[in-house]
Amino acid sequence: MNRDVAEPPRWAHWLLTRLHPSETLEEVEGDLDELYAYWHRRAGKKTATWQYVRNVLSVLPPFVRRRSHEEEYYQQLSPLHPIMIRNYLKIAFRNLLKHKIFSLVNVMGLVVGITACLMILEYVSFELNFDQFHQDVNRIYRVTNDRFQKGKLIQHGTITYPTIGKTMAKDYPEVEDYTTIVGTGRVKLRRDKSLYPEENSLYVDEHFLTFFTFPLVVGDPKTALKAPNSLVLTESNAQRIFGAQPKDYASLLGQSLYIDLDTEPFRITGIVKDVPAASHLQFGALVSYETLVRTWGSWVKDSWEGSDMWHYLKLKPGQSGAPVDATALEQKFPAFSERYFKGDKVSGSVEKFYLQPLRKAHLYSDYEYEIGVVNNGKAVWTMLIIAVFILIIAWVNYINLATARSLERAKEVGVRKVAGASSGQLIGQFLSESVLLNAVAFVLALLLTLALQPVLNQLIGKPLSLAVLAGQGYGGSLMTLALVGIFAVGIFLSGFYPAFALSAFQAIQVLKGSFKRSAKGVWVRKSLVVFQYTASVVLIIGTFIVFRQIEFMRKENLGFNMEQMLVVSGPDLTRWDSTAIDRINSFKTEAKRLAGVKAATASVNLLGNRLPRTFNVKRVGSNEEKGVTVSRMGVDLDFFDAYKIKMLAGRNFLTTDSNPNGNKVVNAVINLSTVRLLGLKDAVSAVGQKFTLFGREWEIVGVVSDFHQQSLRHPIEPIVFLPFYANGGFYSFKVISNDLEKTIDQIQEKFQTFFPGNEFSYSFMDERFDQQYRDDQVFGKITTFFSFLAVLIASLGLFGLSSYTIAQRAKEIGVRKVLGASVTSIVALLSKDFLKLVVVAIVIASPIAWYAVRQWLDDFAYKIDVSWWIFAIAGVLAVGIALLTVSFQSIKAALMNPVKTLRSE
Amino acid sequence: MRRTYLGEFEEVVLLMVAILDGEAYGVTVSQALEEHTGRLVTFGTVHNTLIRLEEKGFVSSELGGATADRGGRRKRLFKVTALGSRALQDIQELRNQLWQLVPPNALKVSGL
Repeated sequence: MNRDVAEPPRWAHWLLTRLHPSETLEEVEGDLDELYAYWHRRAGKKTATWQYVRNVLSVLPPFVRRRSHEEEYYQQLSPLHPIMIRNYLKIAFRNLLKHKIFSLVNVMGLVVGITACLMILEYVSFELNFDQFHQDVNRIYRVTNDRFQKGKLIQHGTITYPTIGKTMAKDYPEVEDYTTIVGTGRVKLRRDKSLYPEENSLYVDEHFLTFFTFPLVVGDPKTALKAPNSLVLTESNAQRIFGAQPKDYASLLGQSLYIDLDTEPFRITGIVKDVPAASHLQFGALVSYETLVRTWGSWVKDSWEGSDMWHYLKLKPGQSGAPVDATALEQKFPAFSERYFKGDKVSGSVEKFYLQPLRKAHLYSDYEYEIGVVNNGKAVWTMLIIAVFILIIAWVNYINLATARSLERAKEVGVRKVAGASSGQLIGQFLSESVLLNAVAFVLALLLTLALQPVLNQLIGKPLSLAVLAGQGYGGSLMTLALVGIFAVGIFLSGFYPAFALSAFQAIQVLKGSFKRSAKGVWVRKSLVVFQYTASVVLIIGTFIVFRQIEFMRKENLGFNMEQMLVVSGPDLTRWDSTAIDRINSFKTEAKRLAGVKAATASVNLLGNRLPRTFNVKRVGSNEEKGVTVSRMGVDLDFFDAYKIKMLAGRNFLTTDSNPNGNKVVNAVINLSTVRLLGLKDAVSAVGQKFTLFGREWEIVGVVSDFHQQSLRHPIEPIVFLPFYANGGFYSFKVISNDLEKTIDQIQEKFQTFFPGNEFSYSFMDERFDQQYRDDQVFGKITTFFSFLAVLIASLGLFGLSSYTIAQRAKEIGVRKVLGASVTSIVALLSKDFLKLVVVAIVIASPIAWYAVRQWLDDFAYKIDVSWWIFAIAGVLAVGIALLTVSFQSIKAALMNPVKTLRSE
Repeated sequence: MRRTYLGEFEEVVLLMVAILDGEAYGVTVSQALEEHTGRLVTFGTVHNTLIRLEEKGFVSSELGGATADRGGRRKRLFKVTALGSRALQDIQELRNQLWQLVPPNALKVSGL
């Protein structure tokens, strides 16, 4: 009996169970027990115990050999094994094909999101990349100039006096180099008899080509623009005008061209590479600054009063690569102003100078008289935020839709687990499904972006392409890497949540049928839907406001009438002489005789354009030391009638008010704002008063009502109308005709007889004026597009959530129906939950939208009120869309035969 | 073409499995080793060798034959596979051939 109860030492046995590999524990334990009994029988307890301990030790690690798993038929492959990956992909493909509609909806959401994101990123990258091609971009600054009169800012501009750049370079050793630019805008280049209009020409000094990085193909950048009448053309202009190939460029040097009316020829001294689209300075031709001394006078070199120049400074690099300290230099500018401008003694205004970094010239410029291409930096960053949001919404949607199917997939997971799948393998399975889906979506999105590129580029008028993201845009190839990284991370993150949620199911619960998802998962999905709807509602409200503002601006009574007004550009190639005014008047009279022409008027400038300003205008008899600033416009005696501008007091211009010799013109008409600005009581008492302008006295002969001389973005300005004529001005014809083309042809015929050799170009005043709203309209289109996207994606998300929730409540619905619930009550019950989410989204979205639209509207001088009903409409719209989306599922569920859902119980 | 190497101890253990003919498991193999060769080795050595032999494909095993004196625990019973028996026969044959080559007097001399 003693033998039977003999037991090996407990501790040794414990050691064995703890340390021996589990695969062979059972057999080894048994074997050792048997051996113990055998030793005990043969040699007694002591030896047996000793032997037992010794042999236990021999089967512990590290001595023991590990039996490998049951390889042949129970092999657990690593989730990353190539065989497994192949399997994942195969299953993923089958799953996608099995649920075609679902996959389509899911891929569509992603494609739309990624495409939109790519397009916006192209745009943002392009905009941020402006002027980055200049070698010294971080050392180049532009001088900006604020002018104050009576402590009031009257000009916030980039133009300033011709001496500034030169003097600053001389006074401050920190300045390495400077360049001065005058923009002349549109010119006509003439070769033999042919005219070549060029929209952008600049007068630039000799430093320009070495200062900036605009490389010359032929010519010497140091000397090309030194001599007067030197001309540098871009490659495309060389091709256009001379039909030159790159190899012919050298032969163009020294050839002559004429510009506008100038009788002296201009000599080509260089061919410059075409200006990159991402440059705030755009030009097709460069003319040497010295030329201006001849045509404008010597003031362009030494004046402290006249100002039409842009100055750029290049600062010396800091000690051993330290950033350039522009602030330190800027702090010296008040002393500079005092030294040269002596308060407002010299120019009539107190001058303040600042340095604007070149890299901010494009996106962060709110200056008047801007030379370059500017864009709103705020808008660009807003776009970037929108892009990120759309991408997140798209991925969120993916998560939502993927988990929505979890009920269905749960059974699959259960069976897989029972069949021995590890959770690593399941995660691999679901991850590869998401990666596959995302990859398909990504490729489709790339193709879609390529396909839509021309449409986008036309819409926004920029030469965008995917190349901007592939190393040619902001940040170079770092940007590409970052993007690839973001997409990869996004794809994995969006795959992770469903993968973990799905693979965590308990096989037993699922297969027993008692499976219910946790409240936490539903909460996550609900907040995702709220997030999506919040974004949608904000965008819907934004779109409404943008369109209402545009409509308001276009419908608002401008104070003048531009309907059916045909605008013809004046003959800028005809020379001004003593008969010019007579010729202009005869042309007008002849035109007015045409059947379709009701009125004709000539003006130097056109409403809708930025009018030139004059400083230091003073009422005669006022004791004010300094004058005021007004805009001016040269018009003929028919102008106010033709445009239906109301004369409040005094008289219109008379023929005798004008004179070919400008110095003999002394009568002026002013608008009501000017009356107030000059400190006059009212329109009637203003008539007969005098003011000084251009250094001489003018008499006010009439007062007209105020009107919006520009878009409603701008406030109404004080304007002085002077009876001037100009050949390069504009003719406006009120055309009331059934045969518009014939009338235009007739006008053209008259134009050619009076002004032979000039180009006839016409447009319509209302279209021209509307051009000012082009940016806003583009913005409107873009917000509409994004609202549509956001709503579409959000609806997909809600669709997913509703189908999921309703599938879960199928039994409940069945019971309710059996107990007599009506279809309507069930639909209402099911929709209620989702409506709650949308209402929450509206509540969150309203203040965000309110803030955002206020920011946007701040840019307009005249704007609509942000009224509550816009929010109400957006809310109703969101609720409507949500109801529509949910009803599809809920009605289907409510109509279902309860037998189907209940019989399985 | 190199056949899987069979070590000396492995060969003896494999022969024990063959001798035990279906009754071979850790305990019986250890006891047979002691009984037939007089070698006392630890259980771990036998255990490891059996695993190695199985990995090499000379024996196959299955669990079974639980008895009360093992606390109801199953045994892992080993059988010689076709490959194992081929290996044993090859060794036997090789030895025979080699014996044939030994000159008749060579071993006697050394035996003296």
